[in-house]
Amino acid sequence: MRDEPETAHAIVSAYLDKSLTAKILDDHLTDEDALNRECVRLHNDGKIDLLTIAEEVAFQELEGPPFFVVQQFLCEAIPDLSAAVTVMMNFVQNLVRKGGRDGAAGFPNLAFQKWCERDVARAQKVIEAASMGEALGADFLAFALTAGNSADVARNLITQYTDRRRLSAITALGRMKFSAHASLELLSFLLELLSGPPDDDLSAHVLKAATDIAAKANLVASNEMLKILQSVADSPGPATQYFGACMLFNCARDLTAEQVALLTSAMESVDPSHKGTLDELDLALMKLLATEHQDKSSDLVSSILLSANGTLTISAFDSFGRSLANNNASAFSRTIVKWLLSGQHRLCDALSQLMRYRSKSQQPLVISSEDLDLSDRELVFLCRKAIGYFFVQPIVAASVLLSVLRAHTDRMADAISGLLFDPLLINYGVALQKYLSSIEHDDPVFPCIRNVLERNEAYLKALHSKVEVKELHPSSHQRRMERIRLTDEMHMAHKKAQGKSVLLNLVKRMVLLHGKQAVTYVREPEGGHRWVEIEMKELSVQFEMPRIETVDTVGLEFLITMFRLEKLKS
Amino acid sequence: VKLIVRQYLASLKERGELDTILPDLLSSLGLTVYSRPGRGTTQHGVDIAAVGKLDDGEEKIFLLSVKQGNLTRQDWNGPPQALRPSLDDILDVYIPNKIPKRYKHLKIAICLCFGGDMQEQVRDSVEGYIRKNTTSKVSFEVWNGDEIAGLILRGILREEILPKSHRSSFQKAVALVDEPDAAYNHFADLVRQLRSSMRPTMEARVTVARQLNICLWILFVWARDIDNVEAPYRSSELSLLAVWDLLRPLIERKGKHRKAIIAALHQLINLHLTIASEFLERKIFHHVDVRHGLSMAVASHNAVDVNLRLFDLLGRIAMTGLWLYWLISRHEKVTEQLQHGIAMWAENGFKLIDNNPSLFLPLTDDQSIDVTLFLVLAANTGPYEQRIARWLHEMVGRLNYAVRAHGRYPCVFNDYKDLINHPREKTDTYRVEATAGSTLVPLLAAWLTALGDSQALRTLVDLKKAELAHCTLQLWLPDKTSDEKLYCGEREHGISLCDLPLSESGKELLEAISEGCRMQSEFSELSASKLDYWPVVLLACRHYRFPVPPQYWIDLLSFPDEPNSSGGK
Repeated sequence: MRDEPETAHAIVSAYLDKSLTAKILDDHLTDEDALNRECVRLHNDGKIDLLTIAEEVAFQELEGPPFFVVQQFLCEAIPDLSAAVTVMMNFVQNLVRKGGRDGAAGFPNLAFQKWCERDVARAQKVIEAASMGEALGADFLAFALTAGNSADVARNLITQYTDRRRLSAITALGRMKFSAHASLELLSFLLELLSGPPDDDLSAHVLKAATDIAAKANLVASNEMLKILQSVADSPGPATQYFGACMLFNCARDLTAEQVALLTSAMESVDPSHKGTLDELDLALMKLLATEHQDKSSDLVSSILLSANGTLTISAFDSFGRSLANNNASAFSRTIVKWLLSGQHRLCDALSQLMRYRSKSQQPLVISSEDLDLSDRELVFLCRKAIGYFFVQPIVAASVLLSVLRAHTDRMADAISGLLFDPLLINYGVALQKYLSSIEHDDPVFPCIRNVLERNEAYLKALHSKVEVKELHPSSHQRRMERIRLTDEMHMAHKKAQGKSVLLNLVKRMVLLHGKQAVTYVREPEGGHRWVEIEMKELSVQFEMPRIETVDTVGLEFLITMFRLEKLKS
Repeated sequence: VKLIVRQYLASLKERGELDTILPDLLSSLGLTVYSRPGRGTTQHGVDIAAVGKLDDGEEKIFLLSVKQGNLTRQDWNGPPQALRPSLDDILDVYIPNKIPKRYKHLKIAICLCFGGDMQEQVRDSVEGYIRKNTTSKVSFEVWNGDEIAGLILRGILREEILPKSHRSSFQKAVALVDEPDAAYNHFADLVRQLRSSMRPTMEARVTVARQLNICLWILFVWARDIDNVEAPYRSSELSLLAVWDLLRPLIERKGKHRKAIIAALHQLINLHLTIASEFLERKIFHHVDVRHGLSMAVASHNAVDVNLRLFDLLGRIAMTGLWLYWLISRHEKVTEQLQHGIAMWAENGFKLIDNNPSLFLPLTDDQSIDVTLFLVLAANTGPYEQRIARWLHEMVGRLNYAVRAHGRYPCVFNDYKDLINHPREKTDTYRVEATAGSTLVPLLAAWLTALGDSQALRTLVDLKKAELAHCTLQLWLPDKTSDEKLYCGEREHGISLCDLPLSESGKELLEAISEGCRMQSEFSELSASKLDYWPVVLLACRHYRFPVPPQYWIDLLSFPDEPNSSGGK
């Protein structure tokens, strides 16, 4: 432990040298609590003014993690500091602004709220300032009202004003604690606020406050909440949509089907450029997948993707996507059928991306036979779409066809076996052949698959029985040119991949010109060194190129494009 | 060189192969050949008969009885076609009855000709036969491979007319025959050298033609032995065109050389067709039924290689079919069998297309040459309207897709490096550069118009409007300088029929082409046109990559408003 007078001296010296920021950064890993306590004491004793730290050049130059180290230090200190209300509000406001758009930027506001809780008179002064129309007071009104748990004051302000003081008061209500009865009554109060003309800010604040109140009082499924949702979901603005997404996330398990329908409907028109709302919605939809309303989540994603006009891809919903593809087999099955049958490129393309989210991307899919109760035309359409969009994952594409075949073995045998052979098996003779060969004898699709395999065998036999026609071979010069082209292409791809690698930017790169293992030594802090041996292992990636790519590039592309573009005629 | 020639002689396997070169050989040695090999006629043991002087300086009649390969016991005295029965025939029938009166006073040398060696077990029998039948008038000579090779080198390939530098090119061509590009380049050097060092006489021209014939034969036989006739195939096209160019100024003249000139030309045509047949009939046609079979036989992972090889193959099938069509059409009576035989070539071409879908869209615009050749063959040997229509319809569909999707659409580039990188960029700027001009689009439009495929024609018109507005639609016509330059591969001649109109009726296009053809009378002034050797022009177009002049196909097409306008005439 440091000698206290010595610490105080050092703090005062740093304060006078305008290097308090540097001291906080230097000492925060060792004695942060002690330093914090001492700073508060010295501030309250008038030996330093901690709130002037923002004037230090070093503080102003802070960015990123170092800033948040100092911000956190100050947030710890704020509740215990003595200061005039206005001074403190200014200080906190500057601190919040400097935090920018980071999620942790608002922490000083909570520290301010605690500061008010320590002395309710401070809260009262803020409310008075706000009531007088002071902008700064209005900024901190919600925290002051919350600190004082002043529900009646808040309700008065809501009734009295129509500007942002009303919104702050609504927010404050959501943060306060009430009994179940009072909560219900408050929800009715909030509902009444929505009776006027549409106002996105008002709707958003009401929705947020109501959600918070209802969640605390277990009233999410209440009739009052339903009415509030009906009111805000009609023509929601961006702020309402954001809080709607928050509500979906926070209350996913407690929402009724009607409420989910209202919320998801409200989210359909979300602006693709509102990334915050989309991020929140992504997490909310992931949670919704674990509920009985799981189909609503994929329906909402499909609506948003379709209305976004190509400005949004499924990667905006990657949490939802990963969860759907890996943990929700039945919902995934229904989504696949629905999206493929829609024939909409954006949805089908999203599905092909979802396939890559699967932990085992080449694992066969299982489509439930219940989801495949469709006409022959629809089933063939579904299969062609699966081939069109999952072509580079032939086992996945084939597994969709097999699911259809299992569900309708007699009806679909000819159509499916034709598609399985060409374009799937004819293109992918290794992995897909192995997969199809692994189908058990007692599987109802076995006879059909056996025919397909025999057909493929006959095709390959005819190919392989060919005599060599040397006259058709490319010349040595052409082969050399092609090798150079391929090497250049691989080199470019390698460099591009290296440029994208996060890992390579973090580690030191060594290139071994000879040998198969590296031995190097690492210096120890004590001055010694130790040998480190690294044995090289082979790292390779394998993928199967479609065979027809070589013999009919344009035809194959054309076919796949046709499969992708074709529509189901009514 | 002697080793090369000996090996070549020993490898002559087919009936008629050794017979074919021997007359030229004897002529080059100064002998007069008065009887040449012919099939179906009774020769009484004599395959070739000639008069003149050889090593001993005495004028004699040389009666050659020819067998292929080594002389075995079976070849000596087995079936009726064996050597001994032939010699008996010569002694019993030919000498007493068939020697022309003017040569009756001369001594006779009966030459036992075979490309290989005499086997030991038959030597005593042969020598015994010779001893028994030799008289003061009749002697025997054994011309084995070594002896004939010596004669070739003393005759047609003697150093005065084939100096060391020429022989070097020839030797390299033979040595590298399994590397067709290199072998072809050396053979092309030989052709150039022979032409540039040729004396300005008619005899010299005929000699060069014969030299090319024998050199090509040697190259072909060596190539056949290693099962790769690519180099002789291409060299035969080159030689044929070179010989046409050599003989072109003389062929209309009358005189004693005309026969020799025509004979030399026909020997080359026959050799070219022999090589083409060795390649196409023996190696390709057996596999045209196999789906993707010949595409895979290209043995490359690059689709460009497959596309280039297959269109070239289609062009070869078409060209060979057209040569045969030409040969048949010179017959007074075209039998049904002959007609069927010629139709087989188009039939195999369609099978090749059906089973190798790379042929549904060219990669480079100059492949329109191969497309045209095949269309001309099919239209002349049909009825194939429906199959032509299906092929072209599919081609337009793919062209439309590939251009719009920036895929592998036909481009103006010919360099292999450009082609394997095509499309280098999927940008409009690159596409404008890569599709600056097209001979394929007007060709397709003209045929589709005649075939009445308005849907495909509309697709083409829309594509031109939307994505190929910059593209100069054109066809190529020979001009008055073409006859001098076309057959030796010079590029600077001919007329481009540009900015051809493309409309949904197609009528304007056909009219513009017809009008263009009418205005350019130089086509009929081409030596090959005048002398009715029209496949020579097509061969020149194929070999040196000139678009096929529309005069070859425009009259095959019906105009849209003609009553019977469902396809080719």
